[in-house]
Amino acid sequence: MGLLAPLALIWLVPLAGAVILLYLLKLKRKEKLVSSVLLWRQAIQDVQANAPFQKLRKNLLLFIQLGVLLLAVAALARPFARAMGLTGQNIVLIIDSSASMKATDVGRSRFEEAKRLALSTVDRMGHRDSMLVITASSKTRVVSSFTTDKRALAAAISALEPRDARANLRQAMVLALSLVAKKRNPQIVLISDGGFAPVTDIRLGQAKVNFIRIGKRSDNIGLIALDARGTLSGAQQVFIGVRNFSKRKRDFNLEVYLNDQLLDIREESLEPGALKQEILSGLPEAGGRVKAKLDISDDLSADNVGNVYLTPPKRLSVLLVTKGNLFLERAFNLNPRTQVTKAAEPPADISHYDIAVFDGVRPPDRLPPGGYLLINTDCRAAPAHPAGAVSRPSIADWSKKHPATAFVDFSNLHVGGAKALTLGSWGQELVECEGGTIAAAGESECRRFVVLGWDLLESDFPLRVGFPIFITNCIEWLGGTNGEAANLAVRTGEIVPIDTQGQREVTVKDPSGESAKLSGTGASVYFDGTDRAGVYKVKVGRKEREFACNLLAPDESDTTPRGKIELGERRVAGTTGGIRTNREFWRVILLALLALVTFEWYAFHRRLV
Amino acid sequence: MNVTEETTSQELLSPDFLRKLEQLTLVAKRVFPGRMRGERRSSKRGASVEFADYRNYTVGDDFRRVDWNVYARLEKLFLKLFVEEEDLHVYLLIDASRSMTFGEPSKLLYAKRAAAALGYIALSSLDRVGFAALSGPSAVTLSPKRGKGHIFAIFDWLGDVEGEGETNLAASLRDFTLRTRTPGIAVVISDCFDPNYEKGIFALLSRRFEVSLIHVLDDEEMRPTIVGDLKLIDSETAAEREISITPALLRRYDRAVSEFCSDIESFCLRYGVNYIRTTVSSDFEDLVLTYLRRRGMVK
Repeated sequence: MGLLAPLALIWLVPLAGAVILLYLLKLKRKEKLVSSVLLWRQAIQDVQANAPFQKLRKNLLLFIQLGVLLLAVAALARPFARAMGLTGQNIVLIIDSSASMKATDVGRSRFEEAKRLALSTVDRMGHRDSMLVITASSKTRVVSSFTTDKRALAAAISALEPRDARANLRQAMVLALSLVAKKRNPQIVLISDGGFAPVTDIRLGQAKVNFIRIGKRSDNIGLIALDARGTLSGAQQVFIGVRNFSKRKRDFNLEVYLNDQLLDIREESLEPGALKQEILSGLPEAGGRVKAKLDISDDLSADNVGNVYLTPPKRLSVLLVTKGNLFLERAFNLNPRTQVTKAAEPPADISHYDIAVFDGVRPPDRLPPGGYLLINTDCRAAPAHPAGAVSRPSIADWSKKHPATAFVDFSNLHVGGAKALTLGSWGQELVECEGGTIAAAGESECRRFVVLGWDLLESDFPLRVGFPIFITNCIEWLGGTNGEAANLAVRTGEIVPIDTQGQREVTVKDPSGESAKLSGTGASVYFDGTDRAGVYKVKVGRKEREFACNLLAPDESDTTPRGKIELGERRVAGTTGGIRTNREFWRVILLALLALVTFEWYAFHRRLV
Repeated sequence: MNVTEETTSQELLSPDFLRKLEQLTLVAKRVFPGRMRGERRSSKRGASVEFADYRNYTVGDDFRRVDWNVYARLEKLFLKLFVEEEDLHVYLLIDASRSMTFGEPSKLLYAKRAAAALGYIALSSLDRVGFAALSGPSAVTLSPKRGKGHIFAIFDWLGDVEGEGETNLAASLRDFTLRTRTPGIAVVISDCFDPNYEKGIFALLSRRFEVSLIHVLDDEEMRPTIVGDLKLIDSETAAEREISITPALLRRYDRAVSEFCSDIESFCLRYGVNYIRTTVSSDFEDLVLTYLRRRGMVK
């Protein structure tokens, strides 16, 4: 117990002193002439009615008034007692529903424990408190809007399920702060294991943040990397990364399945904190789905399985329309996947080519589905069009994320002259100089474009290391649009584009069997319900595909509960078992004060004093 | 502060009441020697029809008073003695101190009425009635009168009595006894707010007065209705007493009043003083016609 405003007690001394002084001062008494004071003298016990402190003795009114004063000052001092529960009037409850909350080190799972604590927090709400519930995983979801209805809140919380995705707590905090921005006495309660990166680029302002920590230990081994690639020779490889996040050495079996058929079992052993990286080679060229599974009993099972697809190497037919560019020819010929056909002019029918390269030659306006590399040329179907000339452009920036320009260094590129490109609505900037965009890309209606706004032979680009990488990137990316979409393996929580192939509706069934219908008029629809790890089945018309979602998140697999988290400008320490808060009870004191004042009135009027 | 009450004979006693009083006589438990032949038994031996005693014959006595029946038996000469009928002195002593002016009606008026009533009764019985107003250390007296014809003079005298001075029964009664030669019935009408009242009563008793005490109190004195924080000022001594009226204080006052009255009553009982306590709110006629009768003061 304590006082939130202890300085208010200072008032007790002068006010009590004033009350006592008034009692000690000679009262102005009404004079009354009586026949004789003989009998009164006998009745009165006090000889000196006005002697100091004689009057104070047995003066009930004085003590009542001092009691009232004491209660009033006590209420001003805002006494409080530490109690379980909340006192904020507007509360946002954030429940971490990321993959790490599925860990089973606490009860049935951390998430069940989180729900239990959330329900008890709701139960301890004051009658004037209003609460909103948010779940935080890869997406932030408002489960219940601000309400004082405890039953509705409890029902919403009870229906929650954890996800196999990473926690995007920044998004949850930003939403929570915006919701309580103008509310009185805002409070944010976060129930989590703290397994997320510090969120420092937010401002908490007046909001009070409580962090209820869940979790006892980290006893988990998980897949943190799973990828497949084809080598230049055409062989398929699978890369598997496993880390031991527990504090003890763990032995386990790594099982590898191809199309759900056991392919390999490896006995592994990892020291605490150790990382194991395996590259599986010699996989069949036919491709398929490779599943890596850790045969181990640990706290979190969502990261023990991963799926990845082997895409069989496919030869790409490439049409190279150029007046002559040895660098281009050589770069395309060197790639073992390509079969290059060179032409000086665009042939009438180019639909059977996977990739068409137009070097300084204008392509036809109508282009069939496929990949197109336009070098120093333009066509109506392109995502960007020349809008002006730039002499000796100095490269300012380029996209490092686009598949065409990944791992390509454009710095210090010397270009004699280039055309500044104006991007269309579906165009994407690839390379930028001070005069504008000089390289762009775009994808639309089963056509992918990479547009370079300068003549390669008027630059030193073909002589740079990045040029063959650029060409290989273009082959890979442009070659991916041949009407057959490749199976994807993504991380849980990521948005998956699904090629509609002209269909109005697409059906997606998640690993639990739940189906979702997606409608769209464009070439692709985007599916964002990837919160569960596993294989998703996609039905587009009569064709069926699938894609896999894997957790592959070291910060989720590391189930070590965090004692403190960084939120905005504060480091918030976690509490276990609920929130203890200062519960003020000045209202009770005021009620007592009112009762005492009423008693004083009664005592005075009934001549008790 | 002089309190004057203009009282007329009509306010003191009504003619109807006076007629009722004529039927009453004061009761004297003892026989007092009087100066004149009245209608009361006297201890003196005189010429009346009522035989009292015998004595030996001495030379010169009247032969007609010799009891010859006794001589026949005893052959000795004895004279018959007869009771001498003499008048009774009745003294009505009114406490005329300032404290007697309180009350509604005032205790003084009540005392005057009581004194007037008792005085009229005595006059009707051909008793000799004297009055005294006791105020401070002295007693202002009205010399004893005999016969109903003096009643109006008595009323006038009573009307002029004012309430002033302190209650000092000890000194004033002593003063009265010194002034009065002939003892008789002394009726003291007072509120007895004198801690030394006993000395006054003793002074009367020592002079062989047959004392009756009519203790008159005001209702406010019996059951105070004052409230709050007050400064009480004694009307006689101007002594001040600051009090805060509380129920507890009122209860103690009530006890003090009871003890005060019972102390006086005990004293009176112990010394053969007839004690009658009344309040100003009591019906006066009831007091005289009923209560005093019941107490044996009148018949």
